[in-house]
Amino acid sequence: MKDFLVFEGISKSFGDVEVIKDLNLSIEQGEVFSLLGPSGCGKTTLLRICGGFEEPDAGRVLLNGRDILSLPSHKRPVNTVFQNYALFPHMTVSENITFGLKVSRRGMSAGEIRKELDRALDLIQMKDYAGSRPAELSGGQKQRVAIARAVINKPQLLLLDEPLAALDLKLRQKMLLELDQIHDEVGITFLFVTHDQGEAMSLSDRIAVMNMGRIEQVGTPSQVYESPKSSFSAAFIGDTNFFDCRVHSLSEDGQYSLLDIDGLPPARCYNDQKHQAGEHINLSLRPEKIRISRTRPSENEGLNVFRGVVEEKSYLGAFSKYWVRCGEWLIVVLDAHRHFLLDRNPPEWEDEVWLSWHQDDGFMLLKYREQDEALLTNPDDKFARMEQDTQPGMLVDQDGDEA
Amino acid sequence: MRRNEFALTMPSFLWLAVFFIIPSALIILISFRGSDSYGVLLPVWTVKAYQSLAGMHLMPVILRTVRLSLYTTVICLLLAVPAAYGMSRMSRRMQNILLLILVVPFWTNFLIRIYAWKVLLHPDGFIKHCLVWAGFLDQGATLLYTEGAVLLVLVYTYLPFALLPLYSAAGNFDFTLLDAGRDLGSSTLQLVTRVYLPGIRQGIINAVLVVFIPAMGSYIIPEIVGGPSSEMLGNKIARYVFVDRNIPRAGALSGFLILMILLPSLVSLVNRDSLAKGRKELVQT
Amino acid sequence: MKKKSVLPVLILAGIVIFFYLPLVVLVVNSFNASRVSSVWGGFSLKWYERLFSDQNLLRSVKNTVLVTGISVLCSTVLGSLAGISIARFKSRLQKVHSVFIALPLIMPDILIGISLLLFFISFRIRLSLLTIIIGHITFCVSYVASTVQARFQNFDFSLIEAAQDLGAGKGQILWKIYLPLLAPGILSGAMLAMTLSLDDFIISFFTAGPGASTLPIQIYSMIRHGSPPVINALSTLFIAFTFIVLLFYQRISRRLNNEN
Repeated sequence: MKDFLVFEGISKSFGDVEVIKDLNLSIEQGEVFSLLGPSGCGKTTLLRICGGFEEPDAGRVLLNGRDILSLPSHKRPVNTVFQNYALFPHMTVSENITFGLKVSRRGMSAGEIRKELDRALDLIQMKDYAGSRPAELSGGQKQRVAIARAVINKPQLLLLDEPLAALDLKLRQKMLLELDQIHDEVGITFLFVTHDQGEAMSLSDRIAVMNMGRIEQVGTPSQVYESPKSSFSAAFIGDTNFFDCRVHSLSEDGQYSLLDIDGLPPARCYNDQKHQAGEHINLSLRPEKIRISRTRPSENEGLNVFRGVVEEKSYLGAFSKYWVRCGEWLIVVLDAHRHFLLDRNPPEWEDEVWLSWHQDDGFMLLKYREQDEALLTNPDDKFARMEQDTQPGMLVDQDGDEA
Repeated sequence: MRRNEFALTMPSFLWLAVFFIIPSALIILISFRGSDSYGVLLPVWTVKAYQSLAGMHLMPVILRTVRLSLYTTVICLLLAVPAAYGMSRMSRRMQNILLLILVVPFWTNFLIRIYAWKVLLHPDGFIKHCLVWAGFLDQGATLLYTEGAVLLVLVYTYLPFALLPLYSAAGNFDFTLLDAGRDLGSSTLQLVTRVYLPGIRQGIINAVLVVFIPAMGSYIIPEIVGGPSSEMLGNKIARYVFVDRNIPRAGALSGFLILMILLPSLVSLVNRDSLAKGRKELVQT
Repeated sequence: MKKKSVLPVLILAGIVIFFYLPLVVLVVNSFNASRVSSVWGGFSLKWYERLFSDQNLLRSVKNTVLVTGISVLCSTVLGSLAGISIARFKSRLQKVHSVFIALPLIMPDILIGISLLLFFISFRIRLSLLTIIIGHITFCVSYVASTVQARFQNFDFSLIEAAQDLGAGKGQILWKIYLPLLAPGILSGAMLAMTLSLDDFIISFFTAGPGASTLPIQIYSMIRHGSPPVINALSTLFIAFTFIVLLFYQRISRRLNNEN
């Protein structure tokens, strides 16, 4: 597939703060692409550059091979769904939706506009509200009107700026499904900005994880989650454990490595980055990949086993989360409740437990920065008390300021 | 973007520059010019106008202007603070009705309102009769053309301007703080001085500004209900222009008045809306 | 238990009486056949008859309508543009601009009047109705601008971006977004300009040319030299007019606000 939307060497500063640093990214036609990152990572700025509300200091934005930066916002074949919807309060739902058709002098007749409006109202299932004003609508309805208002112009690209942030949890989940359906029906490319990993994962074909003005990783949701490239990707999406290790030796075929971890028994891990013996590496291990048990698991070729004591446990409904002390390490473990209530005897505080994980489940990171540990949920982690402004994504304190 | 801003800004910017900034500068400039006895400006630069002010025995007038403005401000506050409190504790509906009732009289012409007081205070007027009948006054006393009359009409004119900012400050005050204060054992006096008044501080500041500043510049009120012994600075300035035809001296005194007004309003330049609000809220209720 | 405080309510009641007493006396006296205000000489409309036969007065009413009409129109346009530009752009120019807007608000009327008078004389501009209108526009612009600007306090500028995004040009944005959204602010600004212009005596007095008498100037000369009962009649009409305008304004502004 050919590149549809391309960002080339984009840089942007606000005063002294460099919000986007030499960013390159390409997006394919028809996909739902998410920019995922903490507030202040530059994702909204990138979106606004694309929509024509900011100008980059350097770089090009190509849409279908054509540079769109020279076009003013109202001439770009791009429409935006704003974070707070930005519905015109003095117009009805119909007037809001048809605004774009009426102002753009496309020479559409009243009848044609009417037809488009009906189709749009059908799409968002809001025929009964055509005459209402935005103030009379619920959050979810406003959201749908904002989407209809944007897609009725048949843009080549739809930009969505945190479109679900203002909704409550249940509604957000429902709107997520609707958004997916709308995408299927209209078939245009969605560029979606969010700080919510759940939204990004469930909606997107591909995700770009952004931090401090740079892209950390691009991939499908499962690629990004299952094989994070950097400590930031690993820690920002989901939860994880980081280990400092040294490669002790390699298996004969070089596929697996034996790792020395201070204070823990040596562990075997898949060597996907082709490291050599003696190199220092950082390992990420997702908490749900670790099995916790009171009894020693049976010996198994690919299994690594640590021994520890439960220091903290919290019950989360579908899961329990454990923090297990193994020497100097505090390891997070997520244990799904697959069983009936009483048919097993889960580990409790102060219990001695065995942790086991498969050699294929650990991932060696290409890039590791210590401050990313602050994103993790360790209860007594020294990084949790780090100064606010040293945390990742604290480049600019708010998305709003960035804009 | 730049062109847009220019197109939107320039009409009012130029208008005010030409018809407000230049005339204001002119008045200061002229105060340094000489003039002959017919009021014709002479092409010389001098500080004679300022020197002549010193010999005009203006001190009583200045003191009276400041005194009357201060009294007006204090009386307005004393009336408006409790009134605004009382209003804000009423039902929403009642508040709106009262607001309208209080504001409506001030939509009638300024001169007519002053004139109405002239009628009331007249030797044959309603108030004089009442007071004489009640024994507070003997038949020979005069009410009109006194400093008291000027003060009364000043209070009448500026009370609504004090009332509105105090009312909106009281509306933003969290009245559960009073319950909390009482719960912690404060007396009513302590509640007022330690909790309520600090809580509506900004409203008080705004009220002081919207009363004191225009009162300092009063001209027409002392002109109509005051006598020669209750002239204020504004009357002096007008007299220098129209009677004495000494324009440099009028300019010098105007400069002095501007200075006296600017001092308290420096506070408000930070928060410039407070001044417009006085009259503005008359409309927006 | 909630304790009602009596003192504030008493003061409030006193203030209401204080505010209305002079006006009631005026209105009652305008129907009083006696010249002396404290004596009821029976009901009469003779002061109104005399009022309507006063040619000077009728001319000054005409002048006032002209002055107020033109100054409200001009100051509303100038003031709205000023309010929009100060709220929309945050440049150094706008800082100066907003000081320009603020100064007439704190300047006493008499100083505005005198400085304009000197200005007109210095530049040999003949005093006439036109000079009054210029004076009125000057101080009204500031009030309209502050009123419109206040409307921007909760203004959502992403609406402007949304309109751009949907393809609206600059003119369309001004007409279709700014104007309807700011309409209540502009209306109350215009209303304020109208009352201030109708109310103004001092600035008109200083900038008026010979024969260019407005209603307040006419009232002033009647207060100084005229017959009090006729002024009572005039005042009563004025008060009635004010009430009608106020009622009208309240209804329109409520409708506009509901629409938004």
